[in-house]
Amino acid sequence: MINKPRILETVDTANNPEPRCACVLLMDTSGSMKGRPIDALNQGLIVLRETISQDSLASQRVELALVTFSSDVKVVQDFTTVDGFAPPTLRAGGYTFMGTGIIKALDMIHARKEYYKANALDYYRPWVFMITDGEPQGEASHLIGEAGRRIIDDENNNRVAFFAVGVEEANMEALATITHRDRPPKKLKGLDFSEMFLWLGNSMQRVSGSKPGTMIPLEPAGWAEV
Amino acid sequence: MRKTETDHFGQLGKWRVLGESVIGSSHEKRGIPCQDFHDWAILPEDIVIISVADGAGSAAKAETGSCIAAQTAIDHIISQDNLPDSTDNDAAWTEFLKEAVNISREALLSYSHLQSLRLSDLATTLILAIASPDLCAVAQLGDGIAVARDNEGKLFSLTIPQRGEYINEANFLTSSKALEDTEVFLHRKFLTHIAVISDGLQRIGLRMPSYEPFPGFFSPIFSFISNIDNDKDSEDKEELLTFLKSAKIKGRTDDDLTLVVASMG
Repeated sequence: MINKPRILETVDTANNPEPRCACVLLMDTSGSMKGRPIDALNQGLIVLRETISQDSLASQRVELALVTFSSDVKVVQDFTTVDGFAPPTLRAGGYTFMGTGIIKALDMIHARKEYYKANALDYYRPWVFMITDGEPQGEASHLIGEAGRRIIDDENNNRVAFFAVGVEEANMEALATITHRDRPPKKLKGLDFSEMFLWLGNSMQRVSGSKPGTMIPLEPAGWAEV
Repeated sequence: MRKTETDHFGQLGKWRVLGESVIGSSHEKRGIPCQDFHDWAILPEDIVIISVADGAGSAAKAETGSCIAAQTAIDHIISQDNLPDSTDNDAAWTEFLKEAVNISREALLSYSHLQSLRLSDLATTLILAIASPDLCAVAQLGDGIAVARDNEGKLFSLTIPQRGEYINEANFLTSSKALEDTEVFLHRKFLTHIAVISDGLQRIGLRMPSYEPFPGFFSPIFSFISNIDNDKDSEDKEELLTFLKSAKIKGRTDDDLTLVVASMG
């Protein structure tokens, strides 16, 4: 037995890049988010970072981008694995350029997939996770309609999973009209961003650890109003 | 493991075979059973048959689906009085393997009716390989892969994993298009080694994105199987299991994984 080569010592493993799981965090930083809401949101981003960091595979697979919308749309953080994700302290103020923000997020997802394809990287269905406490304001009125059509078309063609979360006074009826009927908007309980981002981090772990063929059922969203 | 393993091991043929399915850490964490299943048998005239099934994580009874699929396919082939032989044309082999896949699908249907389950609750992939000294035919539905080494020492893939745009999409035996989606690959050459793996080992054992077998992974495994002692089966199984549960493998994937490896001569 001793002279026989042992399998564990002799085997080498192929060094393939990990498959990627892209997620755009699309955050409303309009004036109404000032005060406790934006503080709770900032705290939640830290929870998200911690949750994903704790899982070694998710740390290598999940790519986060952070986009804010108020009187303009800013890419605060382009796609990065969690080690490069430093949660910023977001400040609130201005209008609610929601439609512009949505279109930007979907464009970024599309471009990221092209990058994955060009670099022969495997990937999971990307996510956009939008949080808002209001409704579109200040931008050209056709933009939100265009954004809604994009979401529904991209969902129907399996290009993205778009999640919308309403906070406090958010116009839930308006959110329902722009999201896909299979993924209706959810209303956050109070300002429990920490619980919501914990769920998001855990969901990203589950998705990025899921095996082929499986659209893993997500944990119930305990942070959402029923 | 089925009875034919001990009945036939080292008696009828020259094939040596070992297989293990190991639960992934993500499944352990969530209290889900191992949803991979494999089976194999050695038949007279130096024929080996191998099945590997990978139950879908989203299916409620995936572990049952993969078990039924893998075992039924092997049972069906064992029960046949006449197998095609190497002089038969490709169509005969394709039909033979597709029939075995179809019988597995029928078994899932019957079970789902009996237990009042949805057929999709049993969703599973299936790879079914049959090899004789001069021919190897493999049916593939979903992901995972079969690889081989020929008598000139060349390593190559026998099949190609099926998948959609996203890495977590696959074809399943429970789909109404399952038979249409099943691909049969034929190789008319003398193979010294065959391995069938589930997708959990794909990124570790293959070069991506070409799906070529990675020599650093398969060559030592093939050397190992060539050297196993027929009378010390359990010890070798233990070694394979230790390997599959080692940090070297588990650090790279949290999915269930299956390796069935066979060596001729």
